[in-house]
Amino acid sequence: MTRYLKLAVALFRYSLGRELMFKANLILWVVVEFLWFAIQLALVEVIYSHVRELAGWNKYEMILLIGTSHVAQQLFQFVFMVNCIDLPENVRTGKLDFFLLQPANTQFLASIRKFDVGALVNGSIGLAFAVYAIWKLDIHPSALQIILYAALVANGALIHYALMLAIVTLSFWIVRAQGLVYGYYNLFQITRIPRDAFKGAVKLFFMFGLPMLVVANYPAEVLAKGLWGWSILGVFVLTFIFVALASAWFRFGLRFYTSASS
Amino acid sequence: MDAVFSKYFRVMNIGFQNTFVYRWNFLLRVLFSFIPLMGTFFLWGAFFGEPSARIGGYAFQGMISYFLGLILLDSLASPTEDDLQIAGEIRDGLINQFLLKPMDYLAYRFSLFWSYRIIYTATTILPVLIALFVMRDYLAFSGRVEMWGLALLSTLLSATLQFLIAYCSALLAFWVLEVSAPIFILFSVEYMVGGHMFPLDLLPDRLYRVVMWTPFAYEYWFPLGVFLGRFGQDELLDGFLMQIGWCAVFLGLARWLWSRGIRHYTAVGG
Repeated sequence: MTRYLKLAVALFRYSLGRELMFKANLILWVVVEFLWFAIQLALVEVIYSHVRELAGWNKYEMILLIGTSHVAQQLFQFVFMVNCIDLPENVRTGKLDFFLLQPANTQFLASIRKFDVGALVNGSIGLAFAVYAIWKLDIHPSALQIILYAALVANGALIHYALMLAIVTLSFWIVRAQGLVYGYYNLFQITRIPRDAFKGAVKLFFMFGLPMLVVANYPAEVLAKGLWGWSILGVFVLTFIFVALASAWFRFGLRFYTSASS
Repeated sequence: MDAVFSKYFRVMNIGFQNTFVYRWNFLLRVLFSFIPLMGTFFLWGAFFGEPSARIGGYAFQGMISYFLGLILLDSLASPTEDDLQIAGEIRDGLINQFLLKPMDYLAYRFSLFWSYRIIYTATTILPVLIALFVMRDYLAFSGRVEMWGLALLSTLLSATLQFLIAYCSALLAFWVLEVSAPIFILFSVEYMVGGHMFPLDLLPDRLYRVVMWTPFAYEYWFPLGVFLGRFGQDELLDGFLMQIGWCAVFLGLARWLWSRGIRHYTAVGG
């Protein structure tokens, strides 16, 4: 465990050095992510200029939800996303050979080899908006609520990871899987919508099938709606199951890896 | 003339074949694009609260029709990765061959763009028809046939405009090594100001009038507005003039950027 922690720190330092070599590019990507976040805020502004509440959420509760969703997404991007995006290409070109030859767990290396440093900046922006919303809502969370919020946000990032890993694992069979990776961006949109807006089978699907409504709704509800109880434990269990299944699926897929060229 | 057309038809044919090489990737990408529709349906459903409510001149039906129309428009008219591919071809020196052959690079890319759009639309048509059937109670398209003709015309102009904007932004690669961040910045502006997130007439009146002077409003909002019958005769005329005008501006800009870029270009690779 300590060995892997040390390895993660070393990889982070390597990523930081690498990103700082291209500072202008780093800043531009931060701007890109911020603009996409700003689009969400613009949508909130437009919606709430016409209505007072949406599925029981007022404007600042909605900003808290969107900020939280952004933090979870950026946390996922910081640790896992770039690596997941690289996997199909590594499989196609045979570069995965190098991961298999390293004296460390292949899934670990394939998942956190590169850290996306810019996502840290963007995550902070999302967090700043969440804090602003809490201030406007005049909420005074307890220490336990804050810890639970942080744990649920991290849990949200793990849900993204489990699903993305499951998706990119398909690249062992489908040679080019970029379409799948970009498709995942569409799922982020679901995380920013209050779960009560959904109904029936679609709600169940996005709660338990592709649990996008768990990612940001639960942590935001802990603060905004005082959510408490067994359902929170259920969320952690659900995520554990998803990560375990994705991991098993990845190991299964790896057996079909045939390398490429010589 | 025939020779020119047959040359670019052959390019389109190559575009078809390229897409079919990675058909699973393509198909899954198309299917994923339908996920936001579900989110949109429920988000705006909650916005209206009850089915009979009207907000900002829209009923729930009008809003859902707008986003269904947007999926169709996206598949018919929005470039996917054309800009990144063009930038890559400039960076890797692959445009060298076009400098030596009797082939216009803009026309070549425009042919490839259409080949991809045609396949994309053919693939989306079935899921769109299913979505239209499932949501048949929520549709509110203009019932007048002539409006459908105008909507088709504005869609074709929108495709041309979207392609030309993407093409111009990709030509930045003559001067900057890495263009994907600027391209995504432009894309986010198009998304927000163009009406991809919400119908633009939900904006405050003054802001709406400013936005209507930008080229972005003619990428998504204008063709969809025509589709839904949101414009009067004068607005239609103004809109088409603006759309054609912006196409001409970006065509001129594309030609100018190319001629400047080629002078700056250093051919690399074999």
